[in-house]
Amino acid sequence: MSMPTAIWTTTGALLCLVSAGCATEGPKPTDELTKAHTVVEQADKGGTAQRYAAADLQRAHDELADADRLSGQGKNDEARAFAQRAEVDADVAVARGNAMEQQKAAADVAQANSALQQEVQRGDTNGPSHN
Amino acid sequence: MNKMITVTGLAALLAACASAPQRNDQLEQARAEVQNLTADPMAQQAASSDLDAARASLDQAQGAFQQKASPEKVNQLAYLAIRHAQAGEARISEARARQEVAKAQEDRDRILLQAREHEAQQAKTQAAAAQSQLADARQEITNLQAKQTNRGMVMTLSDVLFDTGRATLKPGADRDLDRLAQALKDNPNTRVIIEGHTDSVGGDEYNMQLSDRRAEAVANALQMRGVPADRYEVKGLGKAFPVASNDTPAGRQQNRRVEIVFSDAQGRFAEAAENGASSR
Repeated sequence: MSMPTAIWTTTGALLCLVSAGCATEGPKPTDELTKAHTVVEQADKGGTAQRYAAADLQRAHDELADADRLSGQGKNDEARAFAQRAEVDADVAVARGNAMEQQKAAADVAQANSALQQEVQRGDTNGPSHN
Repeated sequence: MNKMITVTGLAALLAACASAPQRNDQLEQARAEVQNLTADPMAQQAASSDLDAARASLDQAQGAFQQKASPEKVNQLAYLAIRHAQAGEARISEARARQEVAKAQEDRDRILLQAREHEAQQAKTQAAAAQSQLADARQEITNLQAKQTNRGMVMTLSDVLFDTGRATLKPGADRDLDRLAQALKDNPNTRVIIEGHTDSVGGDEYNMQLSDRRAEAVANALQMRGVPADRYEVKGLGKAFPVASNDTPAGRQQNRRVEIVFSDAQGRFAEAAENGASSR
């Protein structure tokens, strides 16, 4: 996190504290929480996110836990924000996991091909000596 | 002193509320990420819903920023835009890798096809080489001044290679026998019948024995040159198969002879040869 971002985040947090008393909370983020739980669960089930994008997936889990906790405390707006983050972070974890898996597959096939090519070429150069 | 700090803090707080921030780094990053994703030629094809979501969040973040919404709200929307864009980038990477896999599978087929074609070509070349070697070897038999007859290829060793009434080969026969032995080694499946013949002078029994011994002499000479016994048959045929008139000395000389009858390249003799030189 760059310095200005840190400053703004801190300022934001201060403002939040100051305004918490007067601002009214929005409705409970029921839909957002349900959706976030579903997406994180699917990311867990897929396996590739855990294998190749564990940090993104962990982040989603942490955010989801925060969202649940804040929702329980009646902090609906914060809970909503964390639920939205958890959902999108789980999606990133899935997308990155799939990408890594596919890249690994591509590397494997390419390697197999070059081994095959070498084998064929060895056959070429050995060919005449068998005659 | 304490009062001083409080006043400064309040002033800062008021300043933050009064003037909207001129710059939000998270928003800047979101703009850059969405721009990158938009510029990717595969974005529409591989990540259109991510692109839509990223753009929508970015629009909301920019709107919130312009309306001087709280930095948390702007940051939250910008964060969502960034992550949608990053998910989109990952989906594009996945699609590219998928294309690579497909291409690699085509490459693999091509490599295998080339290998097969190469093998076939090699087999063809080898077959052609073997064929020409075989043809060369058969040519050796023809070069022995063997003549094509209905019994197959027949080479004649004339009687000048034997003393009259004797079955001992003269040194003059060596060259022909060397070439015959070599031809048999080069044509490993070819077999021969060694036939002894005489003129009509003398009794049947005598001529039969003489023709037998002369044929045996040729067989021994071949064996000494490394031709195994299973490559030839020996037949003494006496005076029964003259090739010229026995009424003249020249004709009788022609009739005193040893004939080498060749099988084909697979070791099969012509039917006429198997029947014992009955017709020619």
